[in-house]
Amino acid sequence: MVENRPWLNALTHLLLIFGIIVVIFPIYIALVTSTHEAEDILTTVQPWFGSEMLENYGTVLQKGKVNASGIPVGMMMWNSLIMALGIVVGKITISILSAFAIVYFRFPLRKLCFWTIFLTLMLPVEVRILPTYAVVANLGLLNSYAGLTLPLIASATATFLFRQFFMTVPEELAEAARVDGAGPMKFFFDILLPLSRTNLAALFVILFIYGWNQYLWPLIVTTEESMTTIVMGIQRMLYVADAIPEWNITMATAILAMLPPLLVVIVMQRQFVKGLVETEK
Amino acid sequence: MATVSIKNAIKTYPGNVQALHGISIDIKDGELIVIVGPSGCGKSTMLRMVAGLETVTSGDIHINEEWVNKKEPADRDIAMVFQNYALYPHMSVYQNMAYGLKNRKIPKDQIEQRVRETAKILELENLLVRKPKELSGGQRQRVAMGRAIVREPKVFLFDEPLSNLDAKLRVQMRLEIKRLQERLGVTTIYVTHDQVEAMTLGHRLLLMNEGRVEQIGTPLEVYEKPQTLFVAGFIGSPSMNIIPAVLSSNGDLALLGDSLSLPLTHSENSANSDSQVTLGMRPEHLEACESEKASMFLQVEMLEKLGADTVVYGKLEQTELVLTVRLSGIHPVVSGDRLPLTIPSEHLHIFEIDSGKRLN
Repeated sequence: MVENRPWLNALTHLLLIFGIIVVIFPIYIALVTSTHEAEDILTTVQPWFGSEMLENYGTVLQKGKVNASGIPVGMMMWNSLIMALGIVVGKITISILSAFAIVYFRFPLRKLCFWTIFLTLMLPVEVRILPTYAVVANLGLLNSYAGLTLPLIASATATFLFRQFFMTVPEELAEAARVDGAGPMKFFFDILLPLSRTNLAALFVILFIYGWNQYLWPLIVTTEESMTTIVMGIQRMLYVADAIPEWNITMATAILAMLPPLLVVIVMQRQFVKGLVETEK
Repeated sequence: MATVSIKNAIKTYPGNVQALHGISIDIKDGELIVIVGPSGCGKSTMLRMVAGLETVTSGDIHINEEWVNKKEPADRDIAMVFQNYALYPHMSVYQNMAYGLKNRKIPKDQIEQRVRETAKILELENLLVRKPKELSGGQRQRVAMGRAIVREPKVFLFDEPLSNLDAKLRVQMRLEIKRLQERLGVTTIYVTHDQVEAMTLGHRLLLMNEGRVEQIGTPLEVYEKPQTLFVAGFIGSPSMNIIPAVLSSNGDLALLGDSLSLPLTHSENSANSDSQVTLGMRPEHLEACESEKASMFLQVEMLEKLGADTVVYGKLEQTELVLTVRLSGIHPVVSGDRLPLTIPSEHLHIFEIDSGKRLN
């Protein structure tokens, strides 16, 4: 598409701008709302920034919403961060190792193992939530970071992704390493892992956001307030009996909740795009 | 320095597909053996079995009198150059060459010294910090060789190392490999499907077809006395003219068609008279001559004037047999001509019709 048609150019830009507005608008409203006093936004939507920004964010970070559990947002974000990172590290470690085993080792029932892993793609967390809960509860992992992360760690998607990547790595590379005297694990760490760098980055971003945005599972598995994650926290702030909903505080929390994923995306952007687009060999 | 001996090596893949039907060869110390054959003949499998990348179904492989069938590639003290080079993409040239040494726990200063020496031999000194993707095809090829040389192995194994290069570079690298092998004197097994490469590089050739040895011999032996019809057709370019013939009753004439006959030197001829045979004549051994001396005439149909040679295609007069003739220099023949030809009888190759075995 290297056509040069001015009106087409204008049209495509217009479409893009429209799309961006659609996406940005709710975020803008949230940002604006978070800078007003609670009373100002009870009935209307404010179009422009108010004056309470510092105060609102200060409140949120230090005390949280007093009449809704009153957990400081900082603590919730810390919980979310640990959960997200736990899921990311766990998922990547397990999936890259299982993909390594499936691609490079000939063991009995290898195909079966792969397809079993692949099958779990069809069973998202929500489907297996009750049995998983029972297992976690029996193991005494309720209200713990282990309980939050462990059941979400097994990942067919990531395993599949790594498998596909490993299969594009020329077989001769593994053979050259064998001739060079590198055992399987040495080959994995010295050659396969560095080659997977961009894939790792892409998966890190995707899985971090996945982990950060977990809602249902943390809601079920945690009851103690000190284990609340930020996504649950936002929800809890909305429904408070016998009090005015403090939208400004809620929105401030929402904006804060957006920051870490945003940061991860910005920091890893280049590697991320490379990992999705390019197969570097 | 080492000898390699392969005894009755057989490879059977799952599903009872037999890739190798008993290959045997003894390779002398410092010798360069070229395994050559069409694709799918099992030559790479043979090489990979020596390397230890492929298991040996049955038979024995000895490197320096040591039985290595069950040894890991790294413990066989071999080095291999792969067709696609298989350089580690994320490592610099230096790291690529040093990796094998590092895994053998050789001290750092010694690694450094050996890599630098090897780089000097291969003129890679200025490229040591580069990554493989920043190198040209020829440079990558040299790095792959450097990685093999730096290990100072007992045996070099080359798996079609030049097939990814363009024609000019291939000739250049071919000479370089030959020079290097002579200089280092390391026993070498070299696999290729290119008969020119095989003829120019090898001290001896091992010709393979469908998992069997067709012939083992020096390049000239293979050219002058191909032991089977397959070898006759495979070696030489343009390839040998292969036509049916009948031996005369006293065994000193080969009869072509109804009226043509060629005299044979029948001293070593082991064929029965009157039998059907296959006759081979190399295009370059057919000579143009004066009409009265001609033993046959060619109805010229097509010409390729290459400058150094003129390749003539046509039908043998009074027969339907198609012949290729390579005349040296620029020959004044034009298509439609009746070209008188003769061939010295020592250049006639006779093969048994069924087995394809050489008879004379």
